[in-house]
Amino acid sequence: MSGAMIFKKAGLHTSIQDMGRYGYRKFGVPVSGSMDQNSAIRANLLVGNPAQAPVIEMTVVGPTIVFNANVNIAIVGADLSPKLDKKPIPLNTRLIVHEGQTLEFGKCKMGIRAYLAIAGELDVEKIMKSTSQYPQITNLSKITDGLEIGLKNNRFLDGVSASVRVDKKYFSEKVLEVFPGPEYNLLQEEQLKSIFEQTWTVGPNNRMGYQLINELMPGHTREIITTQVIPGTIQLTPAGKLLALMRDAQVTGGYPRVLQLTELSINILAQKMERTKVQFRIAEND
Amino acid sequence: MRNIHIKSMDESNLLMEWPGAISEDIMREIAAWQHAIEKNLSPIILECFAAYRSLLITYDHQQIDAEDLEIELLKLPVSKRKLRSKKWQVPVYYDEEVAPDLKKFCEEKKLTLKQLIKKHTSPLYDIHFYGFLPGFMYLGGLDDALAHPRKATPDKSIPAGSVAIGGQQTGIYPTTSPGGWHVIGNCPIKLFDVTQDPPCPFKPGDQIRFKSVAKKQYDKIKDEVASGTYKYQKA
Repeated sequence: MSGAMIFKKAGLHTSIQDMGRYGYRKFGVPVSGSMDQNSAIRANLLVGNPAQAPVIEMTVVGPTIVFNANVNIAIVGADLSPKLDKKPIPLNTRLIVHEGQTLEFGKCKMGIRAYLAIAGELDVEKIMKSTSQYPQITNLSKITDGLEIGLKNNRFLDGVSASVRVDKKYFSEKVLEVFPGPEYNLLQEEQLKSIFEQTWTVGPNNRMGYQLINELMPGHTREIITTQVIPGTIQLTPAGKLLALMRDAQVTGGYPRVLQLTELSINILAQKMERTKVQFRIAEND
Repeated sequence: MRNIHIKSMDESNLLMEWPGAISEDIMREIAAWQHAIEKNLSPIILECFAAYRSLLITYDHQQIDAEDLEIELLKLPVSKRKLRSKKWQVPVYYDEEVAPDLKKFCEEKKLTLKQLIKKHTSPLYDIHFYGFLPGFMYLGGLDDALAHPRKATPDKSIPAGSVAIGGQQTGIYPTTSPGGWHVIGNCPIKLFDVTQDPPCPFKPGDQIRFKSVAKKQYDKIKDEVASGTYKYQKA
């Protein structure tokens, strides 16, 4: 079946993501995958999909989607005020959408990334074992206006409902838990104080990384020889900014890797809007 | 195993680090480790990939934890023999037409174009690893006489195939991207192709040598690449 869903409007940054592209970093290909993987997994499980199935990641401004088939959907993650035929619909719930209905989004109320899962298999290109969209790897680097996506093995069920409770603290959590990074020992006393005793502000960000800013943080001139970085690696830039690398980050870098976010904290940071305040705490156990 | 440091990065990544300077020896030792890990631990390893002096291992933390993985690593039969590597010839058209920085680079380095080409095409460069961009090779072996500090302000767009020098390194931009290196030529062959598996024609551990080609040859290779008839040449 082709064109089960038509994206009348794509939204601000809407893309297909799964749990990432593994096995190709040795050729310089980033991992990619859903920024907030907890939410993506929950959305899939609500509609009975495998946890790692591709989902639609929506950022701040959601898309407008017309469905050409009866489907079951679930939206988990940020509250982008979803509406079905203009009527508000709940998050974290398995829902029924009928052929001809329109899903749209409104105000971004909490978090910034929401995940839409549809029961069945999205008919999307798989490149290097993953459907995650990334420029110059997949033909489309994100969803564009007018795009149609088909659904294979549509497992529509009428009348079956399910929901999951998501604690709001997931979105308001200020504390990011970190492990000491490989170059943690390069940090000076004053820098450690700035990192762990002061509040940091979320700066410009995208799927590649989040700048974290604290004006009092001293800079440095230490370059390291180009080495591996992974999602969650926090680099210290010469200007004294911290750069938290996210799912689309390059596979190598040359700034000291002073901290490493826990997997949970990557997901939490992925829901933070610019200007949000965060704090760092060393993760208790590895 | 000589002084390899093993560090846990997070819940599912382990980093093996080799002390000392960048060297071909370390590159080969890392490649041997990578080979042994991929061959013997593949069910619990999602992937592992190398940099100059390190190997990063992403593992399935539901199957094994960092401590046990470290024990498994120490038991691995890592071959002392050199892994087989190939030598490849990579054509480059050294001309201002495709290399806007060429003239200035020669002036600043006080070299004639002929001298520059000689120095750049003489070495066999080691492919240490891929990084920065899909298909971007980190090469070892640039002649010190060609080392040149990166541009203070990176260019917004460097065309695909650009052969460039930055600091003590030389490389080829596989796709159009921003970059701060000095472009001295253009390479007409594909270095990254998503439709191929593996997507890169050369493997880390292989070696390449640049070959200066004239405009006519450059255009001919471009046509061959476009029509899918180009054959990668051994050096």
